[in-house]
Amino acid sequence: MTLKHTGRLSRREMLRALSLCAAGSATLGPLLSGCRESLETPEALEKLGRKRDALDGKPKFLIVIGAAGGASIVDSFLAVRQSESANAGGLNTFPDAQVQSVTGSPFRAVKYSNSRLGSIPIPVNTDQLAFVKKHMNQMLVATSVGTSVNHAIAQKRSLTGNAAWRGRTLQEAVALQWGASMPLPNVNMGTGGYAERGTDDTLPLACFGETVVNPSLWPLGLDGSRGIAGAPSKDVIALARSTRNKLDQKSIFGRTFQDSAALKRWNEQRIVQQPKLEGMDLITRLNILPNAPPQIPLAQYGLDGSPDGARLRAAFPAFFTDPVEGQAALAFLLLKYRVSVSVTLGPDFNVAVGGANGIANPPLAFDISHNDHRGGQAFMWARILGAVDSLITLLKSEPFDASTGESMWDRTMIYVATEFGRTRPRPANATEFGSGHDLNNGFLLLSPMVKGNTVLGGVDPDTTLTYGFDARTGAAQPGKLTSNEPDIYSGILTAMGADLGGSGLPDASAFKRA
Amino acid sequence: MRPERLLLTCLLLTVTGCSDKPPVAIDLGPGAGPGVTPTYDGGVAKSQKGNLRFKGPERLSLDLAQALELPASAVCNELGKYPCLDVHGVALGGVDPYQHSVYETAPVTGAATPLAVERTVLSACNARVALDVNAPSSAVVFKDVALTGGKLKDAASPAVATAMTSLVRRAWLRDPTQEERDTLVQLARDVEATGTPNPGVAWMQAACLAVFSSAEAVFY
Repeated sequence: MTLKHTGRLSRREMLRALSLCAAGSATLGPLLSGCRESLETPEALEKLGRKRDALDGKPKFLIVIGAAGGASIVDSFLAVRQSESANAGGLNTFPDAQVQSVTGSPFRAVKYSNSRLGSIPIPVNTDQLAFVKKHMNQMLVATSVGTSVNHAIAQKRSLTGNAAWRGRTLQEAVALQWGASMPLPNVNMGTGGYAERGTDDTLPLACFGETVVNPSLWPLGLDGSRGIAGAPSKDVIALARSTRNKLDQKSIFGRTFQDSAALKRWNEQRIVQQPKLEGMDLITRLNILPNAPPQIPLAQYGLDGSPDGARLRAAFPAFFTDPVEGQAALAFLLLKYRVSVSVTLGPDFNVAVGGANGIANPPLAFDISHNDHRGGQAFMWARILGAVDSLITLLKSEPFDASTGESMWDRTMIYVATEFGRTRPRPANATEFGSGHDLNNGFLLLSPMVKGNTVLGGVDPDTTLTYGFDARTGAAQPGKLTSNEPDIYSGILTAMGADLGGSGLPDASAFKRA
Repeated sequence: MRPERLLLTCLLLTVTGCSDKPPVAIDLGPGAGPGVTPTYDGGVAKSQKGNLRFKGPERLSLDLAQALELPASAVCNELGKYPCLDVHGVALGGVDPYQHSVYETAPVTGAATPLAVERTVLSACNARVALDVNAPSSAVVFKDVALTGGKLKDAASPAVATAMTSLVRRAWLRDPTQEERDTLVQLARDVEATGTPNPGVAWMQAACLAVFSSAEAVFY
């Protein structure tokens, strides 16, 4: 088959496939599946950077949380106390009592309280301590210096390591590594640069993200006819599809554009992918919505909610109005039902109404720090950590492999990506101030696969800037302020156990749990 | 014409496989008679670039509204409430700049795109079929198509042929070939053979879905 060499169906193969379809042949699916899967042989994948020894048949999962706007690491796990800094009054340091330590851990936790969030009259009362205590053994913070303070560019670079591996994003790399058997290996609910595809065009199309913007209603689109009032039976739909394919095959249009890449892709999606998606009953399994007429009249349209719906709605009660909660719930289901190996979510820059005080998401997410740095960081970190905590709880409760006793969490990496840090200066001893964008920052990773309870690098209390580390040994390198985007990228994939042969990525063994 | 230009023109005609017979004129008017395009055996010149564009959500939805004479708001609503343009807009290759910061259209169709197309088309078809069946005097597509006990009374009737021509003209802006029309009529017999209730209506829905979700109807 030409697919083995070109990745595309030849004209003859496509005609054969469509003819078989028109005749209702049961062999059509396997034929086209065979074509596609021939692209995914170990040999073919090895050419794309993957080696055979990674094909153990067991997926690993990546959850990317795009903390849009600049989640500052010195406003969370590397916060600096005033008493520690020679320049405390002019830099972003906290009153000592607001920075809490945990015995036996390098992480810190900020406690913050204010009656307003910038010009928004809502109280902000947050405390990161419980999160750190609960998850510190599976937390790793790696300090970083980026290369852009432009939101969209920096967002994308946080996913590509600034084109560290042919421009492919982490999600695409994970989809390539573990997603071959998944119908939608890479689902992206992120925003801006977090939702962009990478630039490695050698990857199979399935590796690129499937964009989802409305997580609660999107599953309704995963079946061609169910849930449509008055729709004919599946038998009739199958006949309609068969007739359509026959018409397409013979029409002047179909023959004129038979070599069109768009049409070839369309036929593969329609004839191979579509039955696969429908066969998994995802319109039910991924549907978080309850039957709640008149707003959500599922039963009236012959639909059911997911068997996991009740517990997800309990974990994410604002799933319908708060985008992050809805995304997190869908992310869990996408992984649980083996639809995806990589999911991306995160707040966007729009206001979301809801939550305890009426605002679920402030304008500009973390970037509200321009207006109120400390309150904005505290509010947004609490928002992100809350979603992470719920996701971890769910994943821990979900068995992955009964024979090994592994849970889903045992095979999952959560990467809290962000664009950049924030500028450190503040007016003398001000507690409410604005900040700009700064290349200097750090990233939070959570997984049983990372070297837990670890800070790679450190922070200089006199500047509150983070300094670097040796990605191979993990040794801190005080004074190192050079960009390390490829180290972060490599570290995530290394910790997950991805085969990086031929990638040219730096050795980042320090990220991996021994 | 200078001889070298004449030679070049002849060469081009030969290379592109053009016949010396003029192409058959096609009546594009939806109100014209129940004609079909005679078989044209002059061959097809394959497009070398094949630069097809997917219609995208707005064009797809508005084309359906216009072709099936439906209000735009009646084309497709999930759960009867949520416009498919909003729910499936990005899956259909659209943007969502204000709510979700999706500023650029996808460069290729996604895995869920064909499903979103079918849902949108099927919803619109159901709406049209329901109107035509419930109010035959003001039927638009399936005019005078008689049903008996839920079945198509006569698949070979002129009314059925006219309905199929109308459907194709509305979707593809051309007449069907005889073979295409026969294929759609045969669909009626196939649907009836499944034993589905109300096979006549089911055939109308199926024929409409087949035509309006075809590649010719969703790419340009």
